[in-house]
Amino acid sequence: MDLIGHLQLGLSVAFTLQNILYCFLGVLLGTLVGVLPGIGPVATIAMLLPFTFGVPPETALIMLAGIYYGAQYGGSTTAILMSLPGESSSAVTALDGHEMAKQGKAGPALAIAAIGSFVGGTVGTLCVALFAIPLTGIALKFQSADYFSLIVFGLVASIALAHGSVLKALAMVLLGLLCGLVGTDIYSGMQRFTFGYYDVADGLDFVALSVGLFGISEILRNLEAPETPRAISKIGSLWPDGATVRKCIAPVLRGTALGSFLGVLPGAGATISSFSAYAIEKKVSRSPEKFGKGAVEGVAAPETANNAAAQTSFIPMLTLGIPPTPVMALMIGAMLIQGINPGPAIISSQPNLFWGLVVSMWLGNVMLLALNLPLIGLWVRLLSIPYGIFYPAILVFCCVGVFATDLNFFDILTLSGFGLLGYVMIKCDCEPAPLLLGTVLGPLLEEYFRRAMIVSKGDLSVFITRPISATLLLLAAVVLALILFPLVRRQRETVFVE
Amino acid sequence: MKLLKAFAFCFALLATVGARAQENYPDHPVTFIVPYAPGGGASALAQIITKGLEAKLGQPFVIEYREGSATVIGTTAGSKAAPDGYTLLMASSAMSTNASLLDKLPYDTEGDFAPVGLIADTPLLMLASNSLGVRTVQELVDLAKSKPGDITYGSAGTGSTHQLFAEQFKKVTGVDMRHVPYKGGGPALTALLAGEISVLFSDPGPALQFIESGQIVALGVTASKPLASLPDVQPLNQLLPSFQGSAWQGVMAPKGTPEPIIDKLNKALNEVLADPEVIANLAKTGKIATPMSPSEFAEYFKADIARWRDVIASAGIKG
Repeated sequence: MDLIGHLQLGLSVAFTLQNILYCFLGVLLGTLVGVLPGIGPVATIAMLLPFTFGVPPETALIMLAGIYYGAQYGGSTTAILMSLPGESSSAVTALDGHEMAKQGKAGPALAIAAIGSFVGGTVGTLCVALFAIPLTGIALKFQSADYFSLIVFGLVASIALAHGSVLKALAMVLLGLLCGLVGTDIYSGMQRFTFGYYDVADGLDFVALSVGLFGISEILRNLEAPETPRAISKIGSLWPDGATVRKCIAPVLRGTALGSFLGVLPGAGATISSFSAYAIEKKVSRSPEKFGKGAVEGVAAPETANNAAAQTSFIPMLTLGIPPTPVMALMIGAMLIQGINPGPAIISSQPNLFWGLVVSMWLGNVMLLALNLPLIGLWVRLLSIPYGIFYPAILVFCCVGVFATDLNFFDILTLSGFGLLGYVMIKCDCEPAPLLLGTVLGPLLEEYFRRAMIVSKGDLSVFITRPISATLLLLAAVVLALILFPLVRRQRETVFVE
Repeated sequence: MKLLKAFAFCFALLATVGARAQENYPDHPVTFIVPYAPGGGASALAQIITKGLEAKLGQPFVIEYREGSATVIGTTAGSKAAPDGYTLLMASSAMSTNASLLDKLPYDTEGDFAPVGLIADTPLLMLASNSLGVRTVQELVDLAKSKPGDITYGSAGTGSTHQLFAEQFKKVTGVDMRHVPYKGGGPALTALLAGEISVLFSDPGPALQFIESGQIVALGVTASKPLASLPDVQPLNQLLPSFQGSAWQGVMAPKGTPEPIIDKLNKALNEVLADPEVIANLAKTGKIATPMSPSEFAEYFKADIARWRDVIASAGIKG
């Protein structure tokens, strides 16, 4: 059967009344948990898993998938309006999105985020349909040395993520690295920086850390001001003007390509792709100084990239049966309980399920676009509640959300601690983004480096003799040159001025 | 004296209330702590078992996922629960290996729990990468002996059951293989497929399809008889008689749970495990339903702890 035939089969599955309903329910719930600070798709899917046992497997997966990519849309709403990223992948959206909101341009920021997400999601879905099988082959060729080089590439691409002092940014990356080290060393089984607490043996809870760092600190800062300088009093026109749209076309296209590719790789796909997309935009921009101060490209690219990655991360899950993220692990759980073994045979043995899911993902993205743009008014109205009532509610949501994921009280302490740290950081003009980057990428870099060294018996040349790794390191070098190039240019300009 | 009589009366009354409570057990929902993340093999198993127990005992069994720290967090929660039969713990081989791997556990592995019954035996498959070119255990041993330290084996992390089986294999056969840890069995299986590692002890579920498609080779299985889905793959303890042990899941209650409640739970559990549909569902994920009495399970648990203590000591693994 060709693609058209497959899509027809998918259409016939996705467009039954029951599946449309469950798809809608999924994306609506997803948007809701994305919007509510702290409560993420992992906790929601875990809680809803038992409710899907009674429906056919394709219906169950359609709903669960809807929650997942729906949350990517909703997450950007809270990130923009309140600087509260629900997930690591939307943390970077908060940087410029929230600045835009403060400047009264929340409407265009939200619209661009929704449209970017739609484009990324649609292309990502198309990639799943077209390339699922060949891309699996690529994902299987990735070994530790290649992952290491990929992360080096990501880090180089994101190196100047923060604006302001490079020294402070570097300090934040290092602090992030230290936070990322907390937990059990998988190589020796030794506990690092856990001080004997088993609660942190698996590391600090990432949601607690990022919500504390970005969200709680913002609340603390807002409380400082006597009159509610709450971030968003008006969202402005929802529709971005022509100039804004033109500015976003290239970032959206770049974000789509990057996100679609990185999503296929197991690991922190959506996060790495949104960070990298942001950094790349900043590098290719003619006015990088505007980033972090409300540049619309800084919203468009990462939002597009994380949605594209959210879709393509289904590829390793569906074709290998190996989950790249915790959400995908839950999806596999849903299939196992339904008596389906995910794996390479699934496309041929369960064509209804595979193609139905693919088509429903596109349908869900259309629903989300319709849901998000008109409903933005509703989310904003939620924010017009007096701050005195509003912030305790946010705090409660954050705590409930963080606690509900794995019922660990220590996560609440993490949330509070990083909330305070974030506040101190604001006072010291330090950026939270590099810290988050260090926390996410540092341990991965260590893990892959050490593993590559064990496998190669300590031979460093493995990084340049493996073609994938060599290509990625070469790309990193090119990006490094791109970073340095504007610097050189600027210095020349200064010379000319003088 | 009157006062004493009154006390005695009250105690007697309380005792009858206690006995009544045991007779009516369970009269409200039971919490079943699973010390793993939802979605994995353990969670699928918990779903199947609690569904059966609900039907037998007429009360909802609510699964509470308390993942993290190699099951220590969930197991601790299980040890601290009230011993009234309304909080049960899903125990597993990780509990017996942790007893030797970890220094200061927040609970006493042998003293804080009352075994209810074993659920299933989860044999692991010994897999080899296709590119290694071996088809049997003997070929692997010969190859490893000709190239000491060259062959790598993967695991789901230091101290994981996957690693301990490989270490036992090294001990029994006298070969040397290098350990490459991963964050979980999934990534380790991908690495085996990608050819980054050569050998892996893995759960059968996700591996079956790759064996069928010929991408990896199954050399043996850690069970006393071949798996129904792979009748040609020999049990390792037949090939290597001193190779013992298996991965398992069972049900534990907090120490002090009344015996009548334990017995009632054990009876219900064993009835669930005798159901052909349950047996078939477990088999689909590579598990063998293995009913036991509470005392048999207690013995089994004790022997398991001792076995892994030896392997961990001789391999020099320390958490």
